[in-house]
Amino acid sequence: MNSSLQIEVNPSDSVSGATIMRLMGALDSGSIGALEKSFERLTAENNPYVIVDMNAVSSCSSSALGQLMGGRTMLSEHGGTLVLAGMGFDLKTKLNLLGAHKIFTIYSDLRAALAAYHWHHEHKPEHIECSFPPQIRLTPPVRHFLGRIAKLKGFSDRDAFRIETIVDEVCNNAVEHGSNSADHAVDVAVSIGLQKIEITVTNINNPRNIEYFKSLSHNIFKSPPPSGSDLRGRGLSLVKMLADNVAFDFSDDGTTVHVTKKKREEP
Amino acid sequence: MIRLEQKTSVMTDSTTPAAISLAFPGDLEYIPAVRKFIAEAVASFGFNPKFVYRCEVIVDELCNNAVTYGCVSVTAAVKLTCRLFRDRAELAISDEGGKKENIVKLEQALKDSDAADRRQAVDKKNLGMEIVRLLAEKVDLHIDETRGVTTVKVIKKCEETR
Repeated sequence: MNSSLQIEVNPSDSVSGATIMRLMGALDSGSIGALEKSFERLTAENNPYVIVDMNAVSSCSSSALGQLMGGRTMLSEHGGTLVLAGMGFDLKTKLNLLGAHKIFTIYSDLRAALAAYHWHHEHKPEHIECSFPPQIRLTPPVRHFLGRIAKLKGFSDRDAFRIETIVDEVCNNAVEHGSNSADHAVDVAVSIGLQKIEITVTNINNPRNIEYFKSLSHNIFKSPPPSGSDLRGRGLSLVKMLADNVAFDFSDDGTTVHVTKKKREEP
Repeated sequence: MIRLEQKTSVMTDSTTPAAISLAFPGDLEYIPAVRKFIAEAVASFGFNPKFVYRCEVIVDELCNNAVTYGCVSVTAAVKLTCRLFRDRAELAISDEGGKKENIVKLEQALKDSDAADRRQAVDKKNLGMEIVRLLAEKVDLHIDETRGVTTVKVIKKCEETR
C-alpha cells in the first residue's frame, strides 16, 4: 500500500546520544512497513534514546500506533528508550483515547524531550536560582516553592517535606542573622539531579552578628544539639539531622550554607 | 539589657521596592510552582487576594510564552524578577528570544491597536499576551539583540493601596 509518510532519522545536534526520528504526513496502515524498517535499523545501531517528532504528522491510525508501540518494545529490549514529542492537540487527544499516554512518555516538544534525556539519562542536574530581600515573611514562599520542585523531580512527599524544612531553617537563619539591608539579598542556588538535591544559601553578614556566625563555623557542627533549655541554635542542628551533608563557609563578608539531600524513598 | 533590632523595612514608601528574582529551566513543568511562588510572595506583603491571583495569572501566561516561544537551547533558562511597591507589582520575564518569527509575533501582539477587536480575532490558543494586556496597566517588550535576550516588562497596579 502506498503511504504519504516521510521519515527522517538524524542524531540530535545539541544532545549526543539522542536520535530524532521526524515523521511527516499521515501515519496509516500504508506506513507500517517503512516504520518497521526504521525501527529495525535504530535497534541494530543501539540508539539509546529515540525521540519520535510528531510535529508534522497529520493523522495516526490505530495500526500505525501499534507499530510505534512495537518500535518502542524493540528498542527497550536492547536497552533503548522511545518517546513521542511535538504532537498537536487534536492528534494527542486521539492517541490518548487509544491509550498512547499509558505506553509512551509524551513531551510537548522536541526541546522538552531532549531536556528530559539530559536530566534522566545523562544525569545532568537542573539549576534554579532565587534571590529575595532579607525578610522572614518570604521564607515560606521559598520553602514551598522548593518543596514543589522536589516533588516534581521525583522526590517522595516525605523527602520533599524534609527539603522544605531544610530550606526553611537555613533561610530563616540567613534572614535573622544576616545583613538586614534591603540591598543585601539572600541568594538560594539549587542544583537538582535524579538522585540528589544540592541547596546553597548565601547571605551578607550583619556585622553585629559576626560572633554568631563564627560560633556556627567553629562549634555547631562539632558539638551535640542544644538541650531542652536552650531556645536558640536548634535550626542548623535539625538541618544536620535531615541532610546528608552540610558544609558551612564563613568569611567576614558573608556566609554560605551548602546542603546535600539524597533521594531516599520512592515517590 | 535586651536590645530589639529593627530590620530595615523595604516598601516603606512607593519608591523602595522588595525585589525577588528567580531563574529556572525553560521547561513547562516548572511553571505551576513558579507562579505559586510569586503569588505567595506577593500575598506575604499584604496585597489583596484578587491582586495576588491576577499577578499569578500574568506570571503564568508570561512564563508559558517564554518557555514555549523564547527557549531554544536544551539548557535554556527563564529569568523572572518581581519588584513589589506599595501600590503595584513590576514583573519582568526574560528568555533567549527564540526564533525571529516568534519575536515578530510577540511585537505584533504588544502593538497598541484596538485591543477589543484583536481579542475577538485572536486565535484561542494564542490568548496569552492578550490576557496579560487585559490584566496589566503597562506591558513593554525589550529586545537585546547583542545578548540575545527578550524581556517582557509588566506593571500591575493594585486598586487599593495596602
